[in-house]
Amino acid sequence: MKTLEVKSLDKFFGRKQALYDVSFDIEPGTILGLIGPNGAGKSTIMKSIVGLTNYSSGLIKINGEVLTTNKRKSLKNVGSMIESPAPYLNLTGRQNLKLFNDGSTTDEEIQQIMEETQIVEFADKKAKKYSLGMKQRLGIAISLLNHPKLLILDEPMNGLDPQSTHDLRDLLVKLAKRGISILISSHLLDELSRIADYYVVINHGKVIKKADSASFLSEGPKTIKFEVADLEAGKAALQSAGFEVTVYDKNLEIPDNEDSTAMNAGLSALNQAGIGIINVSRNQIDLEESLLKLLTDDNNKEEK
Amino acid sequence: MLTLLRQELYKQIHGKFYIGWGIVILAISLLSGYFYHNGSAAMSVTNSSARMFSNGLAMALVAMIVFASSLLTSDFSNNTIKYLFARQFSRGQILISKLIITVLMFVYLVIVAFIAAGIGNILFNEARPFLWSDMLPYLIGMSFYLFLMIPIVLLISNIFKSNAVAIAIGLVFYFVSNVINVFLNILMDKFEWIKYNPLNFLNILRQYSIHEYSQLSRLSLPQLEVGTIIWGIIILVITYLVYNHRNV
Repeated sequence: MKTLEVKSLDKFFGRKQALYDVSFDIEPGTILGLIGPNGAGKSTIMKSIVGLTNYSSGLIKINGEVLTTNKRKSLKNVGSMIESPAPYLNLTGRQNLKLFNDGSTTDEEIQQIMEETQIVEFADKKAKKYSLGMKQRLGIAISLLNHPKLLILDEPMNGLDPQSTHDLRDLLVKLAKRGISILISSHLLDELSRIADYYVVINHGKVIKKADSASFLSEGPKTIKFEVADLEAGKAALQSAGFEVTVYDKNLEIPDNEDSTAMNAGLSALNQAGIGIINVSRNQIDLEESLLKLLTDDNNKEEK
Repeated sequence: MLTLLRQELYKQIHGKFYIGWGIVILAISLLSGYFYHNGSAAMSVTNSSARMFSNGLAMALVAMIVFASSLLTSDFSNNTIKYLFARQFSRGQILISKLIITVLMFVYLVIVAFIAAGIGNILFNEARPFLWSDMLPYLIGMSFYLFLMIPIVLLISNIFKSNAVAIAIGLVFYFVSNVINVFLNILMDKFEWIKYNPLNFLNILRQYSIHEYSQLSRLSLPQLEVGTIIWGIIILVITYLVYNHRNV
């Protein structure tokens, strides 16, 4: 049984449609990265799943239970931190954990959660004295209470220092190995790419791509990147040699092929035109670039 | 449901509200007892224990308006509402648990007012017997009053998403009710049915102590009692509907 099934989700804010036919699911023990630009609808999707906002149409099933007909059963084993952590500021971290414990988590388990999220040393300070990173860790600790089978984390790495980010990454992988499914959004795509098994890309409220991690990156266009002294002249030289050229981040990019013919042809075109070549590299596409290209293509498609 | 109640109770126990207002009620009751005992002859009253109790209750009423106004909005302003709504509990259950906590808080404040009146009675009134007949009507009147006032405050705070507005409106109803009554009476002269508006039923607090108030409210005490309960329930249902449709 899938931990989470989202089917044909639509959401309107007044007359404005925020989500269009959003569908995806999560298998037990996997991490799904929900990615997209600001305002794409990621938080709205997450809020709909945990019942913070009503959706207009569609179906959400958690552990086989339909959210709208059985909220009690479906959300019983869901832990979440949406947008930002929001502990009770006049309570300590430990008191917050006791408060949100529905009685199913023992004191030993709370202690274990505090150790895993590394909040032990400041657990007895009032939450109003916490830094953003501390609050973030407390928010994650709260989401781990009550034995969740599904964790929904919206930007959990915000405000964390590199060490804490690294530790959180390890913790999430460990939780997934225990069988907990995780739906996570983050703008720190490099971090996300190290833990996510699958990605769902959202743009303008629509799912524009669903893929597992390996295929997501391998499907991306491979390119050769030229850093040249004169961008315009270099572009013209490559175009006249028959290449389709894109200017990206002050570099010229041409499509790569498996052998070296494209690189050699590009180099000789630039040499013949007398363009100074500063650097040449085969573009190792990463999640960020892959996402940016995907979004650019999608936006261009919409404009047409 | 029990989990929600336990959590609401846990929040209150770790908050300062009940201690702060407990001290205020105690201080006001004892201060009034002191003045009844040591003040001028005009201030000295035979049933000062009942007066001390009613002064404490008056503070309890202000405390309850403040309490109710922040009951729903504090969760929204602190964003803790996300943890409340994103769980297996229905919004109806959340609202009911908060209402039960409100009742418990009122009972606690009444007990504090009663204890304060008792202490004041020993200190300043030579431990004369309590005049229950004077204390009880005010307590019953206030209970009816709050049965309507709390839902009004909850509804306003829920709609305006601000406890400041709710506190302001709640206290205005309480302190400037005479002015409101004048306006209502002018309207009632023209339209008799206006006497059934919910604000008129807030006169129940005064009418319980001073029965002549019926000339102002144009309703008998039993009518006020039934109307207060009906309006209280109607406004609570509206509050629930607004609360249930709030997106976070």
